[in-house]
Order: sequence, then C-alpha cells, then structure tokens
Amino acid sequence: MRYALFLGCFIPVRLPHIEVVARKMLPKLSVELSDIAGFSCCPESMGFLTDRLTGLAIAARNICLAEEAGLDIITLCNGCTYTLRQANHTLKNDSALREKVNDILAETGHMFKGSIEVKHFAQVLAQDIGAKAIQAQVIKPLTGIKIACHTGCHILSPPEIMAFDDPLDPKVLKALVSALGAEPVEWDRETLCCGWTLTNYGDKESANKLLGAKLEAIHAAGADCIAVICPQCFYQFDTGQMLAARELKIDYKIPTAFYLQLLALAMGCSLDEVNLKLHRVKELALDEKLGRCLA
Amino acid sequence: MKQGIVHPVIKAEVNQILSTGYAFPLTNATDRQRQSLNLKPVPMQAATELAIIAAKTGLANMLKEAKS
Repeated sequence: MRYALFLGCFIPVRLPHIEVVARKMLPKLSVELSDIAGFSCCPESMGFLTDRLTGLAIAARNICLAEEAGLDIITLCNGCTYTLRQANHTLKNDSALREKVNDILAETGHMFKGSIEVKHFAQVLAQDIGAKAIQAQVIKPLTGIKIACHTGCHILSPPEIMAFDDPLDPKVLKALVSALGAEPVEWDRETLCCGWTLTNYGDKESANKLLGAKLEAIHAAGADCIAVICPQCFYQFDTGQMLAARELKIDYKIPTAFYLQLLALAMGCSLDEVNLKLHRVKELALDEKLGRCLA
Repeated sequence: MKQGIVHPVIKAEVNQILSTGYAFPLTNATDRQRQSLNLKPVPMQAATELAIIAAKTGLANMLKEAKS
C-alpha cells in the first residue's frame, strides 16, 4: 500500500527525529510513502481560531494534492488527522459547501473531488496491517516494559468521523503496544487531554495542573514510560513535563516515546537509531530496561 | 475575527501559516537539526497558493484590518 505522507508542521519543524523513524519503519511494514510537493499546515489552528471557510479551503487544497497523485493520505499527527478527515467528510457530504470551497480553490488550479481517504498511521497499523502482523515482525520484544498509553483527543472524536477507537475507553494503542511485547498499564485520567492547547492558547497554570494530575496517575500505575501517537501530546509529556515539574515540584521523571520509536526498537533498531537521546525527559532505568530487551 | 478583533498570538500564527505554509517558525536550529538527521530542508512550496485562498475568502484583508 502506498500513501501520500502528510507530515504537517510539528514533526518536520520541531520533532524531525520522529520523521526519520516514520520514514524508516513504515516501509518495513509495507506502507510505502510518497512525498507530495506543496503540502502546507493542515491547518488545525486556523480552522479553530479564525475563519472556518479559509481553514476548510486550505485543508481541501492539501487533500486535492493527494487526489492529484491518486493516493490516500497517511498522517503522523492527531491534529492533522482531525482537520483533514473533518474537511474530507464535510466536503464529501455537503455539496453547497464543496462548491463554495472549489470556487475559492479555482484560482490555485485545484478542485476537491472527494476521491481519497485520510488515515493516521496508527489507523493504518491497527486497521490495515493489524496487531498480529506487527507482532510477527517483532524480533526484540519489549518484555517487562510497562507503558501508559495516551491516545490523545483529536483522533477519537467525533468517533463517527475519526473511526479509530472508543473515546471513553480507548484500546487500540494498547493493542499496538501489546503487539510489541510491552505491557500497557491501566491508569486514571487516561482519556483527559494532555493540555497542549491549554498551554498554548489558554492558561498555563491550569495546563500544568492537568498535566501534573496525569503524570501522578501514570507514576502511581508504575509505568516506565508513556506512549503517544501525536506530536503535540509528545511535546506536552516531554518538554511540558520538564517545565511543569519545576512548578509542581514533581520529583520523578517519566520518559515519553512516540509509538513508532517503540515499534522500531521491537523490530531491531538500536536506542541510538530511534534518538531517544533527543528527548527532554530521560530516565536511566528505562534505558537499562530497554537495553536488556535489545541485548 | 469577524468583529475586527484578533489576539496577537493568533494573528502571528495565522500570518506565519500564510507566509510559510507552517504554523511554527522555521529557524536555523530547525535546518541544523534536520541536517544532522540527514533530512532535506523543510520544503516551502505552499505560500503562493495560500495567499490566493486567503485573499479570496477575505481572511487576508480581515487580518490586515483587525485590531489586537
């Protein structure tokens, strides 16, 4: 299966080591990636914060570029998935709005046809490849690693459009983590937002409290690390944890890994290759446990 | 925004998207980090078409006239 790789903004600009691991690992699972010239921000923030019509038109333009290449889109970000799937769904089902958006796009030479699908990489892994097939590729099972799975908000709701998992009881990421031989732990406050949006557009103190409550629950559950599938969630649990820890006087560290990094380790990559060293929150105990798995 | 008032943070972010195609500022550090990971520079091929879209929807004008 071949997809148009939609990187969005966050990963190429701030977390390029996640781009590296995605480009390396997805083809190993028969997910071929094509780079499409001209993709822009999805644009999640613009759709929410300013003008819906412009947001829809920019999202539609991104979808058009993939349509012109005849490829479905694969994303690495919950926010991009949310924006593009919402736009795709809306424009496929609302002919008046589609006409309006196509009128806006006309001068750019694009026309939204509604001929492709948008999928998050975790959707492709869980729904198209399947946990069993992933498990079959594991050569270094992450045995004994306890992982708190944080699926994130935007990929879950509204479920009828996102079609990924139960927003109140998400299980898909846990199944993907289990497929690597690791142990997903149960923890309170799992379905609460990571607080990224609150940090950036709202009240930092409340965001820190929210993050602190989540970290406390993860710590209480005995997790060695947190697994995420969204760069904003990653940033919040990694850099955000470092910043919040000072304010909240948290005296423990819980490292965060993007799921594809854990997948890479389980499929035989080294710690250096997945660049955990670039993360802000590091914990020797996790490195040692992972080292034993990879030995 | 339609009332002519935009928070400066939001105005800056929207302008950033329209001028570069990305919501986050592209810095020398971004280039250096990508280079160190053997990745190509971030492509910037969207701004012209985004400007056309923003002009057509009226967002470009609204941004220009909006007070912070």
